[in-house]
Amino acid sequence: MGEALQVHGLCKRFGSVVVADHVSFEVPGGGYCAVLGPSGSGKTSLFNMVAGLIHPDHGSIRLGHREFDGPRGHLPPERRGIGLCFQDYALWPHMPVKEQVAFGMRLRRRPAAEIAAATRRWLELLRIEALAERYPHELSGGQKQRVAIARALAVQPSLLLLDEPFSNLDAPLREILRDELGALYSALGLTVLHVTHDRQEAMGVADRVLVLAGGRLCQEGPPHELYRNPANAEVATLLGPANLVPGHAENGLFGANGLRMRAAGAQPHGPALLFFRPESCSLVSGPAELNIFQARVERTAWHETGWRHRLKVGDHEVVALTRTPAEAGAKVWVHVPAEACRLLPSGGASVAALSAAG
Amino acid sequence: MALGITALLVLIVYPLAAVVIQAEFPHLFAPQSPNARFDPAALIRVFRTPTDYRMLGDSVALSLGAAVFASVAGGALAVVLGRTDLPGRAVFAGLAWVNLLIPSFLLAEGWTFLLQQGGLLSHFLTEPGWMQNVFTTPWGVGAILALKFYPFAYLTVSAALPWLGGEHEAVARTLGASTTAVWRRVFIPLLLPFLASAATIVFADVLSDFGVAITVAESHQFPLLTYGIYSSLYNQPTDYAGAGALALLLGVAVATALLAQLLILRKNRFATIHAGFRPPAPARLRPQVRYPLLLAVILFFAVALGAPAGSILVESFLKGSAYGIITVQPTLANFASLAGPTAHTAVLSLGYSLRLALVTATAALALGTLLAYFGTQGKGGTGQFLQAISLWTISVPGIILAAGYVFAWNQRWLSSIGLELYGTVFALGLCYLAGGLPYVLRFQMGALSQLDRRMMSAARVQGAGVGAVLTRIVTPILAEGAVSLWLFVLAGTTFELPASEFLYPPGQPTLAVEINHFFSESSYGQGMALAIATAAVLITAVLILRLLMRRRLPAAVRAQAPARTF
Repeated sequence: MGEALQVHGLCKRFGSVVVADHVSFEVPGGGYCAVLGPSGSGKTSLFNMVAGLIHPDHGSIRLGHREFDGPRGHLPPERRGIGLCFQDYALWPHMPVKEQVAFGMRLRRRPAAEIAAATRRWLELLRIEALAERYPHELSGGQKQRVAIARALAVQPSLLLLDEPFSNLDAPLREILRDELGALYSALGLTVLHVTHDRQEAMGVADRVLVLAGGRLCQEGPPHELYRNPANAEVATLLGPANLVPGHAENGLFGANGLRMRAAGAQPHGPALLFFRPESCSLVSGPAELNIFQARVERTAWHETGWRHRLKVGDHEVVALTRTPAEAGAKVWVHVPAEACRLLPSGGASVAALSAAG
Repeated sequence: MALGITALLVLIVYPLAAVVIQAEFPHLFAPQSPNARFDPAALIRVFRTPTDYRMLGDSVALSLGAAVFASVAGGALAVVLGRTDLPGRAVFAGLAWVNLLIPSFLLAEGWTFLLQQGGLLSHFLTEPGWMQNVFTTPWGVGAILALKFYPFAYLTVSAALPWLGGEHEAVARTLGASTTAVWRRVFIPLLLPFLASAATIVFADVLSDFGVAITVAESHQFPLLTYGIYSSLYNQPTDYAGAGALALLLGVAVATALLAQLLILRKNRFATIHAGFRPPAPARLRPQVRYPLLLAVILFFAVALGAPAGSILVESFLKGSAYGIITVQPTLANFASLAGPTAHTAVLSLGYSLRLALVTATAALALGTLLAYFGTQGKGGTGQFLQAISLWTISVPGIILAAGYVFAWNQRWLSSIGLELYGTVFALGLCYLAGGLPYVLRFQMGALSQLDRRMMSAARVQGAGVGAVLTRIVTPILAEGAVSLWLFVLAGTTFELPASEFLYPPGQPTLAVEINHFFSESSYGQGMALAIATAAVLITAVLILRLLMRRRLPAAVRAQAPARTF
């Protein structure tokens, strides 16, 4: 059974670059937590600090009752008892698969018979028993991934660290492995910390997501909660296509030229960003009233499950994903229910860069 | 780590500092009342003495000429062998390595035996006169040096060729470029910095060469800088300050070349290799190009390697083959004499040098790998220090290091603390180690920096400490390269001449010293036979080790061993 990971007040800087700025979070024992962030957000540094590969400047990391980093110093990676799987797998080119899996057990001086049995068991569990004698250069990407996971799990870690483990795989294989390995971790009761920049990967496996930006923890929570109620524009765009329209909020109403909208959640006063997802939109017959606005269709295309319309509302661009087709140049009425709208702080990230993502 | 860096300071930095001190503060090492008074008289004397001044100018001019010739030849050879489907490419590449590994003093003697008045060529050609005339000019000496050192240019450009990916050619072709245009507009501009870098490496190596300087150049009344250092220390009265001044000037010239190389590479860093990099396929040569090109390459190797090496081989099988009295009667007498009672010293010197080289190569590999590991794993400062020291000292001519050892370890204050290394095998062994260590450090740092650090992190997280990471992950992956490196240091040390000449303990000449003694006594056949017997021992060792490696190492490691760069 995995143990709870507690990270408190973690700080780290490389020269003038801050990669962790008072980061605190907790992953309960057996929980699966994804750390999501763009390049340079500090997620890999966080991963390396939890693994013990780099030392934090301040703060503490604990796993269960054991202190990894903190007032009592730094526990080296070889004494943390964790499993780790890198993006490129980091398989050792001079070892066949069975030796890779047995490596950690050999270092722990387990009896040979026990090592052989455990290695066989892990190979079977990961369905790679036929590859036992092969070297890494003789394996496909998916097979390498399974070997790396078997190697990490064979030492029976209390915590498993995954660094973008699916990014080198093609989409169908990624989904298969994601589901299969997710079920395995759950069955083993492992605590998992998974860093990624891929929102689908993060939201598809984790029961909790942390969003990092500029070394700071922006928001954390269950994936659906973050998707619906992002704390700011950055989180909103990181978690999926988002419409962000700058305007003014007062007395529970948001106004921008051409829009009069009511939103759920917090009701700020003054400059604000109206946020809603493209799939919350539907085309209606009008007329203009609260949460219904007129727009001109700039472009339209089929997108997986519906029509994706790029619309112009006054000076703003909005994206709508609907089941109703429309022609480019046509004027349409768009309805976004109040419960799908949120008002976000307007400061910080560039609205132009973030709006209408996807 | 601190111990390793201290070793570097003692082995390399202190002796080199002693050269500077000897040139600029000669009274600091004075036996009576030493003082630290700055006195550049010896340095000024070099520029005021016409012979010294000419020697300096000749050495630089000769090195420049040889660098241009060797870079063009080595660069062209690299392109032909690296980018075409010419038959026998692997054999030619191997021959370039053989050319690199044969000591220059042996090659020079081979050329001498071939081209000297009454030499081997006189027996086969009626009019070899023009060749003999050219041979005795600076042009001839320059050509010998260029033909010895072109492999450095070949290796430098070969290492750069994979940078010219197939994608570059494909894109240029789709934009309408012909093969010639692709070379002219894309490949040659990309290769130019590497050619320039190769030229500076050859310049530094030619300038530092001692083997040709002590043989051909000296006998042709064309003294070079390295010979000047040698004669200042060897002839009576000994001129320590003069030797120090010449060594310092040589060091400055080499450092300038090195700096130029760094600037060239830094300014032209084309970071085009990426994860999906596709190396280009070799160009298919048309028959009308293939066979003339093959002939040209064969001719090149026949001249660069076949002529001097063949001459060495022939000479070893000729009785009493002092120049001018050749008896063209093959005999094994020279080899037989090595086993006879009269050649006791020769055989002893062979065993002595091999033992010393074994210890030196092993120590250099162990210490260098350990330092390289900490250098690449540690924080920026340590790595940069080790990179700098290896880059700098790898280019320090052996003769400067040897002179530095004479200055550094032949000190009265060392005797007073009971450290009397000078004149013992330890001074020689340490100097060998100092010469081999920078190569190991540089090559292993290059290899380690190419290893994915995450492989080592994965091992550490699995429970491996530093020792286990080094023995179970790093060593097996780098094993094949490390063995090659060990052999490189072993071979280089076995035939090492400058340090041996200065530092061999009385009554215990090393192999190179003994071979040189044979030459100076006109026993060329015996000298060559001793060299060939040693080469045979080394080649057998190489073949056995290669065979063992092939059996022991999985194909995966051989295929994925990191590339090494010069």
